[in-house]
Amino acid sequence: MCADQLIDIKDKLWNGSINIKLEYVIGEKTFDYIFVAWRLSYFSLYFEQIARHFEYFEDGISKRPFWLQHDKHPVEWHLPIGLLYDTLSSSQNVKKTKGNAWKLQLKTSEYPMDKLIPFLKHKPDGTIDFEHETKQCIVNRLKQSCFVLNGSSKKIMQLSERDSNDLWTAIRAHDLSLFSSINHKIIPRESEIQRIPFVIYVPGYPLLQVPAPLNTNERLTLGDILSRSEVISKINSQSIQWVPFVHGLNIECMLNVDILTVWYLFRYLDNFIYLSITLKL
Amino acid sequence: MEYELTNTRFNQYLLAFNKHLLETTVLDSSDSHPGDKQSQSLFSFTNSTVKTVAQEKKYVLNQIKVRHPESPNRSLLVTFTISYDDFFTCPVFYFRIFEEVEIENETKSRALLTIEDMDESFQHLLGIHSEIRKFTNISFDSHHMSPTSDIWMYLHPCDTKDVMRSFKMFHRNTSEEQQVLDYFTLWYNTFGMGALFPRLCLRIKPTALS
Repeated sequence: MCADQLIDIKDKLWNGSINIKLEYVIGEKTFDYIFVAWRLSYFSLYFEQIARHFEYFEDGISKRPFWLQHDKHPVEWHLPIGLLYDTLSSSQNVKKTKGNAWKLQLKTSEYPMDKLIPFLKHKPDGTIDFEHETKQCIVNRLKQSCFVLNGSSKKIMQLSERDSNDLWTAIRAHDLSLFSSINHKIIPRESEIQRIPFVIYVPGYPLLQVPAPLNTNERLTLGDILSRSEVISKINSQSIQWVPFVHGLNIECMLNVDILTVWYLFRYLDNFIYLSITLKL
Repeated sequence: MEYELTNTRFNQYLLAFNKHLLETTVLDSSDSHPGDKQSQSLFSFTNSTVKTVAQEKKYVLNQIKVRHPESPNRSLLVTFTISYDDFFTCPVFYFRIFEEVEIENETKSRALLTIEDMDESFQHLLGIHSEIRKFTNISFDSHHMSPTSDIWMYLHPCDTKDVMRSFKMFHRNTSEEQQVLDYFTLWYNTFGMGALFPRLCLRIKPTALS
């Protein structure tokens, strides 16, 4: 794959988005909020604007924790929106409106603390500081991927204050150019990459942490990585067919592509690849 | 030993370590002597399981109840797991803490979510100033061993490997089992329960001294 093609694909993935339709029931009335969310972003980065919208209909909503629900499943705001869409759609339960929007419910009572990370900080005006927890979660993931790639988290811990702030600004504002300029400082040169951070989601199993080794003599393919997983082997032994998805794309045709190329193409903002396996039952 | 714990060794010796943990944990509060009868009667393990999940991965799920010295209806419930993180290649300590008050056969439970919450609760509920390390880096995340992705608190393991390497307590002449159990003990007292409870410490004795 040539450099121009790589850039073209990466641009398309960066600009990938999903139409969202939120429904909020107040009394007997249902109020909607429709917006476009970046696949690579996080729902909690939209919570402030969502709260501002619903303040017109209900006073004080921005001072209380709220969350989104897909059917009866709390939507985990600390995971990338595209990944949530892909994993929830794998159960073929995604509710779409006629306009092809993903329909979700907004909830304000009985925050499910065991399923969602709580928002614990408030701003001086009493509204919830959604950004504080979001930043902590994403920075923790970046530390984790930095450790896998470099063998330590020092590169991210030693970013200057300005670089750290710029990195967060880039994630929040979805600024590819600024993001790439800082992220470049965390990622080692190809020859120095130790392992590639893969996370694999298989329905009914805990997430699989797969730090894929980068053997310079014989480069592993995506298929090699998946076939080494005992969970995938178990599924294969049951003759269940499966399809790997990333960013909403079926990448079955890339099982023979080396993992470094797959990672360069499909990594998320936190430098992980989140692969969801859809079972054909 | 290269001061690193592999997943294989973790799996191999987890059961032995947990047995040691259950047998030798002591409660050391400011008002009691560690291990004395009064002190020991204030806490108990209410659950302990070693589980095996996908990819032949094992983890421990334990639950400890610490009672108020004078009001047995007030207690602190600590549920924790010890699992192996494949990304950081070291053990990781996930936990949930609840304060419980039993009134007329009804138990009211409140989750403690911040260091300030925990400090206040220890003082209020147990009459003990906890002195939890203010620099302890507590984070929230989906538990990596839970198929339902439940949210737990955990001590971020980004510097666990470096710190464990810096300890010089490992003796080359001891058996592999002893070395791994020493690693577990040191890790648990530094990055496990010991990081949360430096004064109200639920510590385990070094295996070499047992």
